[in-house]
Amino acid sequence: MTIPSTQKAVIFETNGGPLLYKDIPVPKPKPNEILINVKYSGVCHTDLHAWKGDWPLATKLPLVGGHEGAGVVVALGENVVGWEIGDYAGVKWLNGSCLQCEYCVTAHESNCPSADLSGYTHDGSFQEYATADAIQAARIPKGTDLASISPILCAGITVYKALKTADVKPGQWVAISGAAGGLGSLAVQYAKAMGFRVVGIDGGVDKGEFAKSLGAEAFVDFTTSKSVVKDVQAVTGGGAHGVINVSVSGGAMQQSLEYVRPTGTVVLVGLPAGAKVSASVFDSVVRTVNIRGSYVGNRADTAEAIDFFTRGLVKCPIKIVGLSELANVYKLMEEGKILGRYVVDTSK
Amino acid sequence: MVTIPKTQKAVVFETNGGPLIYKDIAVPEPKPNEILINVKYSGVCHTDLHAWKGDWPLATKLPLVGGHEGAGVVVKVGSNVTGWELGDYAGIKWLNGSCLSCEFCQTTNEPNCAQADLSGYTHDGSFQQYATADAVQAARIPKGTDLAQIAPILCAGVTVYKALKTANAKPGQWVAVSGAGGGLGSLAIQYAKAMGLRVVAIDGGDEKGEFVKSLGAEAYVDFTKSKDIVADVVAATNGGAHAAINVSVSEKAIAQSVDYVRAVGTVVLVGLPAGAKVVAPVFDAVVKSISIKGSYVGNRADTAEAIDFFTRGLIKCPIKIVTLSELPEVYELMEQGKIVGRYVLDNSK
Repeated sequence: MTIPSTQKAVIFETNGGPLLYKDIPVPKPKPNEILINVKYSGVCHTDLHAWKGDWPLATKLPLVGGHEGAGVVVALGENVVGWEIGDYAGVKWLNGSCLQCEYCVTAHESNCPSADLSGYTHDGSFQEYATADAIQAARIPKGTDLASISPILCAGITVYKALKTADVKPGQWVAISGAAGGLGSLAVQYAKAMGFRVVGIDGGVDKGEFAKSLGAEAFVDFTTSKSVVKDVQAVTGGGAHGVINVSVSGGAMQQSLEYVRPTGTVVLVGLPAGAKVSASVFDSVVRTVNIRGSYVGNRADTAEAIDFFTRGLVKCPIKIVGLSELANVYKLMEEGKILGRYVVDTSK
Repeated sequence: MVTIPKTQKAVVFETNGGPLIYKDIAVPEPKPNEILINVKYSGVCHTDLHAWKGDWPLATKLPLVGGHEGAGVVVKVGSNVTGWELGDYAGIKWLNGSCLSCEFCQTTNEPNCAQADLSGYTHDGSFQQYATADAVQAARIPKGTDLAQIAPILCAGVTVYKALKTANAKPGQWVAVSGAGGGLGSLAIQYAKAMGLRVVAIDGGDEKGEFVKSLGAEAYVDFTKSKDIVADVVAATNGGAHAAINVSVSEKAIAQSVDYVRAVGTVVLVGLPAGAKVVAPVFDAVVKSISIKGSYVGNRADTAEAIDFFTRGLIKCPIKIVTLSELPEVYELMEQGKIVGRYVLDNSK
């Protein structure tokens, strides 16, 4: 297999600066890395934050963004075992971690203080050839539709882990706040696969139809509802046992504290810049509420999330555009106009 | 057969914030599902102060006999009561009764019952010599127990024990007890040690420092002296506490616990400063993957377990015994933050 020496990528030199679709060198994998010919990459809201630089965490510059890359292994670092050329592999948010700290040894690899992050501190999947630590790279069954699986690599894993974190039992209600977005639409499906009952919250008739088509039993439309809190409480007979906050609205997150059931769990996933949730200590105690941050997932979560996809229980509605059109995707994202997920074809 | 008098001494108030009246009132008659307890001793909990002041977003009954850490002897049983005998030792805790039918009662979350009846709040409590309690919820105390010593376990003990379970910390891990020198804090340190946890205690002043270390805290951070409490806790725990138990009455202390908790750790909210909020920056909460959990008293199993640690001699609450008639003075000391350990009232005086 011939690996070219240059490739197409979208790169930026400064946060908020121009997104350049250009030729750059194909990277060489380190001894512990594999080189993946990324065929498709999902576009995650985090990639927009990385470009804008509006998070309290510095990116590398210049940077190739992207962390939902699905492709084929074309080269192996000399220390790599367990991978073969031709295997299907995924580039996810956690590119590599130290494997020795207390977090790595307790399956909390994403919390490793030395974490290397794809599309943030490590050039990511908005290029045709990307390197990934062989331990963390996601294993994808050969023959998988690489375009369809790419959003699973961050969005899928993240919501799946969030649903585990919510501690909801089959038959109980989970509210998905931001149900029609990239993460929300996957959350609805994973929730159904896990036996939960879903109330989706989002804005507009289109998004309602969409959420219901994915299995939401009920939909609360924040653009028309007089009281989202009352509506969710009514639908769930007393409040949602779990809430997955996958919107970009701090206000929506704040609201979720009110419609969660006593003894229930509010999970924070989405990361609106500067957002805070302010909980009344009294209410939190007397209602015995949990508020939990959930952040991507570990290797086991990854394998499990991919397995649900492979079994056909989770499908991400995607729109495929060329990598060269990434700037336009960010624009739609900023305008809140994305239903499902955009996936870039790195060959165009 | 014990003679039950018709009247008794109690501390009653007619209006929130109004005078606390030490007077004679009628001895109540237990309902068919209740027992009547001759309350010998009652702990005084900060919640009782909130009940008197009326500064919580939950209305009290008025007039009200406060108190919910009552330990005594069963002197009468209602006509439907089974499982209790005259002479048994029993305790009155916060949850006097619950419906036993709703989803919360069915899943051992009885304190969260929407119909909860609360001792010293919606049901006359333990600051009287004879108090009624639902036979299902009344705490079972081993006969012969020192009733003054066990009184604080009935709310403070159960509450911190449940909070430590909620914290999800494993033996060998660090728990920060914020407000470690108070009624709850001093018990939290001991339960934590009994559960195999390492304790960093946070409170103010040298006296409280000596006290918490005597109970088993490995490290002490003094908020009156520390230049940076968060940094000190992170240093003492080599990276942050795996769990933080907030048993102070300080909103600021709660905020600090969100900062000094370790990644993947749990902040537990227990103490209830009026109007306090905990603010969690979403980004940090997610990337650090922390949990903030409210913990509220405990259920019947938690109660039995918490009492068992006490009975085995692993928990001692340093108490000062004063008379029931001196309750107003106790509230004053409480408001001034001058209480170390727990005050217990001798109801016979």
